[in-house]
Amino acid sequence: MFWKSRIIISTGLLMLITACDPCQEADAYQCIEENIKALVPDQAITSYTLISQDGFAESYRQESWYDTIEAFEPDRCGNVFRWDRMGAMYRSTLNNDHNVEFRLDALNNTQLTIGINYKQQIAWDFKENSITTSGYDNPDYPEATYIAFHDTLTTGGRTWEQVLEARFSDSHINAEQIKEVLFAAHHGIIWYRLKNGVEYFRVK
Amino acid sequence: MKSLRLFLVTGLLAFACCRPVLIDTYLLTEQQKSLIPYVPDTQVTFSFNGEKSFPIIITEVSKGMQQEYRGEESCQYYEYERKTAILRSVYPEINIEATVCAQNNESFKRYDTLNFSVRLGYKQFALNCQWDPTGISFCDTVLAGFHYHKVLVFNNCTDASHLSDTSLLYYQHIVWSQENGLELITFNNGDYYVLEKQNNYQHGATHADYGM
Repeated sequence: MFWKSRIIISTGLLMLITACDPCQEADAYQCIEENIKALVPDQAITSYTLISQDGFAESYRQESWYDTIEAFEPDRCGNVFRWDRMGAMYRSTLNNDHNVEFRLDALNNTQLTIGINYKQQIAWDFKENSITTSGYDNPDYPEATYIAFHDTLTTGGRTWEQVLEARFSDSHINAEQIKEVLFAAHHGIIWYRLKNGVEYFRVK
Repeated sequence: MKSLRLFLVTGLLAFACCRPVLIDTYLLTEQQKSLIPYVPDTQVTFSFNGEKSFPIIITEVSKGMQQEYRGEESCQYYEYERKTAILRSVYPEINIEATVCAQNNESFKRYDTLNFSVRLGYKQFALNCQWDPTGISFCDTVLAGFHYHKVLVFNNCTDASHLSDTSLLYYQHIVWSQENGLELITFNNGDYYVLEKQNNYQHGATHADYGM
């Protein structure tokens, strides 16, 4: 008898809570502007190569690329919330842990996260127009402490449009990690400098 | 009732475990040991395309016994000797692990008749990309313009289908000698890293003939 009444009360409470879930007024769609989407390399960029000042080259191959519209289940009024999600992953062909991963998501504001070599993270919130956190919250995964956008920027003798610049704090990284990095719209990474001073330039 | 449960649990545990039984021990031959001619905390100098020199550090050389059970459920195991060396360069970033294991023909056969393997980054290189029952042997070869006598030539089999696309850079071959260990790493675009000199210790005369 005691258990029966407990189950009835719990069910009742659960129904009340569910009934109080607010409905969306209508279907909603959180899209990402094209100029922001451009910060993820085009699908046509299936590979690229960077070369250091000493001639050491490293190629990266596109491993995945997506541009999708995600959706939650309809709420109790039948309204659906949808949002844009986009991303790409490039991995070095030299059997090491070098990679660059782009994640753009409009679910909570519009956030771009770029992960480098599984560790270093660059995260920007376009609604707040400020640096945000990647969500890893791990001292082994240093976050960029400076991010800036440039309309045009010249590096390695080539001028690029719509460039994202990111820097990491010296105290967060070791000598072989990236200190400064540039990403160009539609192309992805175009230049980086390690903390030890070694620079790599995009060649193709 | 309680003591009966305890008795059953103890009985089950006793049957579930068994005492490991060593069947045999296999030791490295002198030839196998000499395949890793390195001592730890030394370095060798390599050259990139004959233009830029860089050091490769031998960060670790270890030797010890490994156990291998006959099967998942088996209590019988073999013991075999294993020697490993780890070679690292920071710039360019290179990470090589060379391992040689004593032979145990009954339970397992590794990559070749010498049981010698080389891993570059996270990919294992192989002496033969297809299974060759005759095993491997030392050979004479010419790679990147260098002539080698009696060396082991490892291939990047996992990327074999991409190697013809020279717009992307892949490691292609590793040349390994008994005298010097790592001699040469080649790329699919013609670039290479070649052993320039042994810095901290001397071995017998190299088999590499650098007459390009």
